[in-house]
Amino acid sequence: MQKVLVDLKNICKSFGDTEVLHDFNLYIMENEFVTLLGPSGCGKTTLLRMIGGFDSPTSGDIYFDGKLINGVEPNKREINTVFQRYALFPHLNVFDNVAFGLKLKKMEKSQIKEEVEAALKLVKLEGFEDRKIDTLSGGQMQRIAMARAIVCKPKLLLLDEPLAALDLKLRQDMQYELKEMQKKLGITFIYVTHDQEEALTMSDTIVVMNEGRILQIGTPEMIYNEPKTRFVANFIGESNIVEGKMLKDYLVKFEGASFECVDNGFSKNEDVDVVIRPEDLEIIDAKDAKIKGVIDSKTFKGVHHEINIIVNDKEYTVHTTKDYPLGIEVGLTVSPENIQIMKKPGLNTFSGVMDYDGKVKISDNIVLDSESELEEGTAVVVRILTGDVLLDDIDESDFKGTIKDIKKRGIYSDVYVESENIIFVSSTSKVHHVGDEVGVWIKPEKVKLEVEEDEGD
Amino acid sequence: MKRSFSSWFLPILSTILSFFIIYIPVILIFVMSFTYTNSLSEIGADHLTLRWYASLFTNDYNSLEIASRYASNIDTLKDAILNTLLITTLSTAISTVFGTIFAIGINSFSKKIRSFLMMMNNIPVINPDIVTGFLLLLIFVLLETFTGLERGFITVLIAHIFFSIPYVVLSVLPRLKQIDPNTYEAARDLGCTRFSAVTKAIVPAIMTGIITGALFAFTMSIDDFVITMFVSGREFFNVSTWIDNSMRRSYIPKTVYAFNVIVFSIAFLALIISKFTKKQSKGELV
Repeated sequence: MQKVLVDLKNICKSFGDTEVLHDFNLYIMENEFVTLLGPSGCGKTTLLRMIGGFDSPTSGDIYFDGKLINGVEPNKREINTVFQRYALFPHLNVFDNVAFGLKLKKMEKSQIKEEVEAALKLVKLEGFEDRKIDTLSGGQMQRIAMARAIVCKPKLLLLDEPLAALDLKLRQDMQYELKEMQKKLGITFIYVTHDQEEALTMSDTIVVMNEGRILQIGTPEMIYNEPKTRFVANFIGESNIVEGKMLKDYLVKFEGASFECVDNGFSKNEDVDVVIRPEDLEIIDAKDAKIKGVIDSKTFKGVHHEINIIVNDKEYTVHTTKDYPLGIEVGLTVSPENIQIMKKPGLNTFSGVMDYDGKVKISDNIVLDSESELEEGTAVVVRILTGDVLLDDIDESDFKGTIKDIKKRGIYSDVYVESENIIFVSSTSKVHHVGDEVGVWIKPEKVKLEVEEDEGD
Repeated sequence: MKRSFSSWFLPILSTILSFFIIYIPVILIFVMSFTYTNSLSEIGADHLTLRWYASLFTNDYNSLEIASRYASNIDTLKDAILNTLLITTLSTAISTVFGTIFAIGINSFSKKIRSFLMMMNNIPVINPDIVTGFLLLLIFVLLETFTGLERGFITVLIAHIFFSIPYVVLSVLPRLKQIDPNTYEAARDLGCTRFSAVTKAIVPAIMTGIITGALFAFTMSIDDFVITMFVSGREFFNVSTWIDNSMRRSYIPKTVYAFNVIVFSIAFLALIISKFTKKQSKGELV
């Protein structure tokens, strides 16, 4: 069984008044290639510096190999770092740079020589021992920085955007080499980057971060194909994100047409975001299509054409290898497995039926008060913000439910309460526990109703 | 088009003239350090001699045919020369170490605090020596009343260290900004302690800046007159305060000329060597 190497528990970090990491939890297995991916300022480098020992968390614990290392000095950690601009020592030649760590370990001279030569061979810079640092190219400096770190045989290697300063071709070569090196050495890598392509190419696991929080953790395939939030979908490659409605399980409606999809577990008529990658949209003949649009602009991108199509005043981006003339009407289609459905954040959506006195019935025993004056028997869509779903003592409440799941969102949590097979999401800063029974209470003025349109098909 | 007479004549004339204005005193002192007499009009008829140079290194003035009115003066001059060399060496060494430490410290602060500290550092640099000297005198007088520390070697040394440190900081800081901001952390990462990361990674990387700073400190200290004058008390002299003192009450032995020529030659040589080595390495020696 694989062992947990790094365990970050409830890490918070503030610089003055700005909080850069909010209650961060993450564990990393041995031999894993983990990438922390996010825009600049998302806290990824700060996190790396804390693991390396150059910063300490404001609160929270860092475990390495089972031991708490919060106060351990960087030189006492079995961790080495490859810095963004390499931080090679300009007064030493290549050999002395690579041997720097070994000399501090008081290793035998002959053994140092052996180890340095092996490390230089690994990074394919044999024979560079006597070169001065300022005679090296960017790519060579990057390799020396790698060699200097791995020659110390750390259990964990931290890499802070090490390829950012290299040109495209070299960067692509190095991505492949880094992955190979990681496999060969069997060292755990934590790699920090804002480049989604790097992350997708090299990682075993990607941690997508923004504003000091984890948005999604998963394999590159999972992150790319099933982004959980609008941010992840946009950050990892291009996406068309449109509003839609789940008519029922495996059927979603957007742009006035219904499509089969592979997602379930939403309530009837729940508002959702629909994500379709540009390469997953297909252009077909307009007369066969459920969605029609006009080609507005196009750009040649080398491998593919990027075509922008206007559908109902909304722009869709399509990547295709075929070229189409501007201004013609085309149809769009997408296969079910390429439609990704995302829950809209912060909103509960249910379908219900009006009862007497503005009461709305959303299941046999769940009846909510509202301020509506709609006629009895009208089918409605019920929308309630997650912040307006209050959890309280059972006696005081509208109905009771069981807590199924709690997702931390930093200062507050999303609590998933199940009652008669309906899930209510409540955003609260109070502490709750999975499995508890709670009362659910919603103020009548917070219950928003909309007459349900008659869905023809 | 033919160039007019004034277009080439005036620049050449002004160049030659300014060159002479700068170097005539040097040349004059150089010539007179090899002659017996003090009088300019007798130079042509005079014999050349090395006895003023010899007088720097011997105590037997009779063999050098030096008049007794000079002899006692030469002895106090030698003390002054030794004082100058001792003060300069010590203040250069100490202010280089402290200035480097200050620069590393200043560099590690945030930009806002750093610019404030640099302003504080620059005030002694732009402050006129006469103000600095007077302020230091006030402090040392105060110190004397409380601790009984008399003005002399120690106060001059402290004053020289005080005015040299800002120059070291000024020449080390730009080098620190040039090196990779993660250099210290890289050394720590590879196993250095807090202290050895500074001595093994930072100091070698900023060595050219430190040497420049040391040269600054050296030149500031060796020719200082104004501040030394204020803080040296009545008994302690360096070369410049000694010359000032001698000029007022007695003759100046031409040993001073010899000493000046030696100092100038060393400085001139150092300049040429640094020019020569600069071509080979990227280092920025002054």
